[in-house]
Amino acid sequence: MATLIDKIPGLAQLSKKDREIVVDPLWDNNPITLQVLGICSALAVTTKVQPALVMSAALVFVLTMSNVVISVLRNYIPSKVRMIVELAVISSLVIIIDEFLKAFLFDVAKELSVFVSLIVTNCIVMGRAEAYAMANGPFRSALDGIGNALGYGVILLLVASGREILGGGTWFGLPVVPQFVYDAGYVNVGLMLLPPGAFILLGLIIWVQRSISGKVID
Amino acid sequence: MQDNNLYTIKFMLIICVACAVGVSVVAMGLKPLQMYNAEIDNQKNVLSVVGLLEEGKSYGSSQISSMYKERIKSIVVNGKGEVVEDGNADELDLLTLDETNKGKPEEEQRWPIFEVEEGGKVVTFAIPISGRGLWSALYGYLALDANADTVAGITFYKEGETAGLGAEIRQPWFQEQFKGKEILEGDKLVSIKIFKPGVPIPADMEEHSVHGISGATITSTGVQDLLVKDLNRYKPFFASIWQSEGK
Repeated sequence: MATLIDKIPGLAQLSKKDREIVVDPLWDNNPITLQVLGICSALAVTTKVQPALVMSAALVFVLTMSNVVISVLRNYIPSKVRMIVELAVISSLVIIIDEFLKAFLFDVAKELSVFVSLIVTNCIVMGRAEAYAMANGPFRSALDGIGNALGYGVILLLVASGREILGGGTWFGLPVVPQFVYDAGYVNVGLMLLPPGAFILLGLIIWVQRSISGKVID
Repeated sequence: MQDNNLYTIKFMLIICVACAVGVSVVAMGLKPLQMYNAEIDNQKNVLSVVGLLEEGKSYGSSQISSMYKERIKSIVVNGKGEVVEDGNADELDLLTLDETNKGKPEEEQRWPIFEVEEGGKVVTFAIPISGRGLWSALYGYLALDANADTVAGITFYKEGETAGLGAEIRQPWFQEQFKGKEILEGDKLVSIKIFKPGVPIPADMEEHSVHGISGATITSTGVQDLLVKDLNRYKPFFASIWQSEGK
């Protein structure tokens, strides 16, 4: 895993420590599978791949920006109102991304509806602000934000792919289950589109990911 | 870092003002684009219910807008079914139609109708429909053929029902069933009845009935009720067409 990621251009220029900040949350310390944060939206917006992708992109923006802003302000924020400040920054960023989606990606924004606004309550965002940005410089905080958001996005896309393929027979809107399979009597698994389907898939992914990475922090 | 109260208050004020300014600038700057999107979306819904959009094909916003201008003529009628000459259907907010008309005398009510004309004659009418589902309000359109009897299509563009159950009202399999059904029995308005899935529809009800969604009885009944409500609303207008059709 690590050697593969070293080959990605851009990442190679970073110091070893910086690289770890980005790469660690993708696998070894994934916010969803290891820390089990951000579950609400991972269950809700994953019936199809496209909204999941947009949701992940929105989170990359919010998490990176909020980490940077909080990190820049970290020496000025009075400690007793620390969390309120974090929340004000995060919610402003979420409203901004929501407005942009409504203006430029109207159809997807309609589908995501309230879940974009609910990024405010995504524990990953607040968690990273508290745990990382309050104690580290803006550059590393940005890397941490990108890494965690991507780690979230990877799992989201996995769950969404599973649900869309099994539940709807399509991937990214394109039919992937060949007609002869349907002719042979196969029926789309409607359960996958319902909340229980998301729970089952996410549970399986967490199990598989944890057994492969071997890093369990229970 | 200072920790006295005055500093904290000052700091919070600055943060709040900065956030508020940022959010307002973005919101105001993007408003025109969002309004345009909403308008295009609305036009797309009308075009799709009257059957002018091809299934599975994607249309650009300029295409939608020019097609709408070319093909759709909108009129406004009052509660008596009379066409309001200076009415502008595009100015009516479809999401609050029922509320804005509530309690008003028939002459002052404003109900929009969207028409498709061919060779100077109306071939399709579309009326906005709305009502209650299980969790949410349902909004859509119902299209009728020139005889104001045969259903040309139905669509829902806003709902918050259970995904996979109630939300199936947005699916083609549910909406396709309505096409060709008739809302009149003789000269009586019977609307469209929704039977539970699996229940055989009696032969004499065949042309006025469709099957609902299994696991979503309340949403299905909601659709049935809102059709009755909204068809009765437009009854005065359609009555003249029914009469001329000899019904």
